[in-house]
Amino acid sequence: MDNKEFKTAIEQIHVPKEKVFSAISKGINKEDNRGKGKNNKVLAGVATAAALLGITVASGFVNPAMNRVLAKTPLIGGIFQEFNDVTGMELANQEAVTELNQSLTKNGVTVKLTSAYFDGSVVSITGFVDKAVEKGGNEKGEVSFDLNFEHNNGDHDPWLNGKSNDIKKVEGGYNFQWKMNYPYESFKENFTLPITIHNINGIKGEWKFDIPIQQEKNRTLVMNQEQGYPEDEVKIRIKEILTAKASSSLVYETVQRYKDDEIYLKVVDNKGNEYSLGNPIVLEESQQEDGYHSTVRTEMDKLHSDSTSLTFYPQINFTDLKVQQLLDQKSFSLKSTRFNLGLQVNDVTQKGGKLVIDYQLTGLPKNLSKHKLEIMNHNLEYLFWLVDQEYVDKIDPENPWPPKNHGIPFNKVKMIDKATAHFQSTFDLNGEEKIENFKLEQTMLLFDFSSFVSAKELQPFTVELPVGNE
Amino acid sequence: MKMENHQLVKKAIKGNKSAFEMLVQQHYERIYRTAYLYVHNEVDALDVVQEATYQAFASIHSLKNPEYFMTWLTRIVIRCSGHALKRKSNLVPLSDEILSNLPGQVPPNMEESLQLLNAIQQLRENYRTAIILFYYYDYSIKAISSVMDIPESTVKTYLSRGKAELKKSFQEEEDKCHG
Repeated sequence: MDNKEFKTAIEQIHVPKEKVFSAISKGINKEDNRGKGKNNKVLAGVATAAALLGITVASGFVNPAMNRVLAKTPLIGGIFQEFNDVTGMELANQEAVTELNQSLTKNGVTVKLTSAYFDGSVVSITGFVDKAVEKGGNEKGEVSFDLNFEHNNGDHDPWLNGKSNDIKKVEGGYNFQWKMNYPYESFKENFTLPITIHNINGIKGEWKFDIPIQQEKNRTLVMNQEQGYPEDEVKIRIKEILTAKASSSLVYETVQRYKDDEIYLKVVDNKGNEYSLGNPIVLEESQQEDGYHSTVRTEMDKLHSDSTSLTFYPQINFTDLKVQQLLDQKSFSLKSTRFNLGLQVNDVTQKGGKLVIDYQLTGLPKNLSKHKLEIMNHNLEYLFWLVDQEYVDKIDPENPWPPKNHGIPFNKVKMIDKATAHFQSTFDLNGEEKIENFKLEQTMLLFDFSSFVSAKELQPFTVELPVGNE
Repeated sequence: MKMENHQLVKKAIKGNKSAFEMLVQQHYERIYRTAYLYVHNEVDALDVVQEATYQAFASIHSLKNPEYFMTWLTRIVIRCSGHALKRKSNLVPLSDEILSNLPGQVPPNMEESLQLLNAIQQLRENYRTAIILFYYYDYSIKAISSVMDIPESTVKTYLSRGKAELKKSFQEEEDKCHG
């Protein structure tokens, strides 16, 4: 084996550029938009479902569907072809893309919007910006827009949640495509979407546009079928599927006793077609007597017209509340709030810049495989947090992380004895993540048992599609 | 690292969001593929990309030397991948099933490539990380030792054991084919 062989192999892993860019953008925006953290988490969570059971084929080949569509794509479809947007090409074929010709020049930079479509829950806008943007602060070949929709401000803009961007260098400037998830529960067939671009590559505008957005009424299949899992304290209600010209979207509700449990779905129809789900957006969330309710809508591959039923394969990832103990004592034991698991701390010692905690885990299955133990060993590095007791209640529940300079979220783990699940964790008190004015007796130890419980596949259930699915 | 990147990293350290986004975007393929080598599927790999970007952006202000940006980011990606792994008790291996699902025209070295990917994915995590950094990132033993935070001698051990395991699983595949 040599480097070349290795790299060739790795290059067979197909990289979905648009999705990766969207993930990057979500990662960044999660940080300064903490209030929306839950959304992001659910997004990531539910999306995982699709791939859990149905693996996405990793291949460097051109999607055959793409070839088929390419063959008959009219001119307007060219831009979607550039951006690998199959939905856009399908819509171009069906003449369901609105051509735009709006252009504005501010501070020497011209922005032209060229097309818009609204299909199911996806809104796309394409445009062109001339090469004058290169005078901005960014490097050549890079274009970044600071923009808002509907007169929203900064990151408090539901249209930016999950928005993805793509840029292509063309003669005289750059083509771009923005794709947004339609953020509201009820659909308007025709509306005007105001867009304000504040700056591009640091060059101030503003460029303001009003974009007409339209789609024919989606076909809606209402199902409202509920499946309960009393043992796991969750319920799933499949509400409806909307089918547009080139895509579908699924609306479902989950009810769960534990807010942070993650439920993933895989969908297969009676013909064996598997549907991949996109990034869900939360339409409604509430806490009620029977638990946490959350209604989400997610983009889905277009429902085949000949399918008569859909089978849902749910999977659940359990979470446990963090348990905590003030380190004013050398030994103590902690119990999971939900599972039959425990942590017995034998000793806590501070040696200069290090804090060493000696402990055993209790209630684990017997005879864990070597592999499982290694994973556990690895996980333990992240499962303990030390937090200044004054700052424990400053941890954002939507986006939990120890407050900067007042917590240490990592440690080094050493296994002492396998048979008794005996470990030692060492915390670096002077590392990048530290506690200012560290005093042992004022430090809270937080521990998370969630990762010791495996994900569980729930009983699949089938929903008949209402008659009328042409 | 190119000079202009250096400026970009400096901007990012000061909290410039678009500079940071651009930096990460420049390496998107490598970041994604690295994550994929751990979690074996697109959606989880995307999750790792998102989480790593989040963690990186949250802590970039603490990056002291701009020239170590990529090493630093790699460390976060690997850490997040490892973390994602534990959430999956039942991993889906890249298997013959995928091969049989591939569209008609398969490039001649595809089968070998998939076999190699399969073998990499079966390596234990430490070996896998060392192997990926050495062969895919072209990192020196020294750089790997800094990313993984282990002594250079341990890196060498991981590499040689990792290679031996790769060879072994290759051999088994061969035997299966001819057996």
